[in-house]
Amino acid sequence: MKILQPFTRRGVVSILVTLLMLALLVCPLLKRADADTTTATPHTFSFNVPSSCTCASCSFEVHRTVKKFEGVFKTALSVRDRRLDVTFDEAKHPLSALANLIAHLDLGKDSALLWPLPPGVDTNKALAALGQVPGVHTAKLDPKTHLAQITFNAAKDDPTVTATQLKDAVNGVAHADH
Amino acid sequence: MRIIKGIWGATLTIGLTLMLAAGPALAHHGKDFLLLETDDMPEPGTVYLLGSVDTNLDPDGTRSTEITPGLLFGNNKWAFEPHFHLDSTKDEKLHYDATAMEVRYRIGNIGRSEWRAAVSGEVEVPRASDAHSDGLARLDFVRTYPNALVAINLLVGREFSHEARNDYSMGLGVLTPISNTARVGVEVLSRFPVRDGLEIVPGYYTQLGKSGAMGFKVGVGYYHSQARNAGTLHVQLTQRF
Repeated sequence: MKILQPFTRRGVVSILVTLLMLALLVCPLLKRADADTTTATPHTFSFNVPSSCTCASCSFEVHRTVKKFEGVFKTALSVRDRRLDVTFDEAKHPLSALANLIAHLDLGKDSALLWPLPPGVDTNKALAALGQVPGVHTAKLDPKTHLAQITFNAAKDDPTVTATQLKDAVNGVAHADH
Repeated sequence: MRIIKGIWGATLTIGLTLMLAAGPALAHHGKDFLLLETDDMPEPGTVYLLGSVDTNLDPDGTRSTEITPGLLFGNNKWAFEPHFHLDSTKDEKLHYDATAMEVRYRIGNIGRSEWRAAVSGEVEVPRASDAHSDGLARLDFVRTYPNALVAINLLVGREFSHEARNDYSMGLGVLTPISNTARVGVEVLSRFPVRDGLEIVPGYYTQLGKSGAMGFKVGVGYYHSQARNAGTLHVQLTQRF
């Protein structure tokens, strides 16, 4: 019981040690809670990867490199569909940074983000609107899937592009059409 | 025995040195396994120089070695691999044994599945005029998983003579990445019936140099059949130009 006497020297030290231990215990939990509050909902983005390569090196490189990118939760590569699906949270990096990372990989050469166009929207206007988003390099229509294929400028000074910007660009056209 | 130790030692030393020298590299297109084949095709417009050394070491110290230099080139659908076989046995020094040509065709995905297929044929013409040529047909099934590449090969071999019979074999190989440039795996090649021969080869596969233009593979395995048991060593270098 001596140890619990608050105003003795030993008591003060005990309280400080206890508080320190509590702080050490609580801090990581706070950090985690803090992280949770800043985390946006992850979305799955699809990229077409037209490379015909099927070697182990290329597919392993895609999974290993993309998974290490901050914000990536999951990757799924379909060699048959030549498509890479990435579940990604944009809280730390914009979508264009992920797209440019993939484009720099061997398998990702000539890859493009696949972006859905809402039904009924004027395709040409939507593609033009996507092409005008600062940081977008090209926006073309994939005739097979009727999805927009978007590539991004990769220079350091180029503006980055988020999923919200792309969504807004397409929605703007859809609203104008209605 | 000293000579054998020397060859094995030198091969392992070179292998370990190359492993340590392995740096960050880009992926390359080539052959993924030592014994098995996949549907992977050479990069169009690129020529690969292949060199492999396959050694069998029997318990009594008898050693036989086959060196196979060759070229690999092709496009997204076809691959051509002309090569030579140089043999060395206990009784014979290293000598030219046969010339061979392999053609491989990528079939593509099987239906809606992620399994892919390829087919290949090889004809080998021996140096000796009294010996018969032989052929090998191979059907490859391959699937890529996020952390593994799986290959199944079905093989039929036959000597081109009237009295010859077909030799059937099956191979299974799995490899998994351990870094961006290196992979480990295991390959099993079995004849039918299995008592006619089964080989298991754990292997290490990597790319070398900053450009990843050179591939290095090594596997130390065990061969078992009703007639004999042997230790095996397989080394393969792939240089992309």
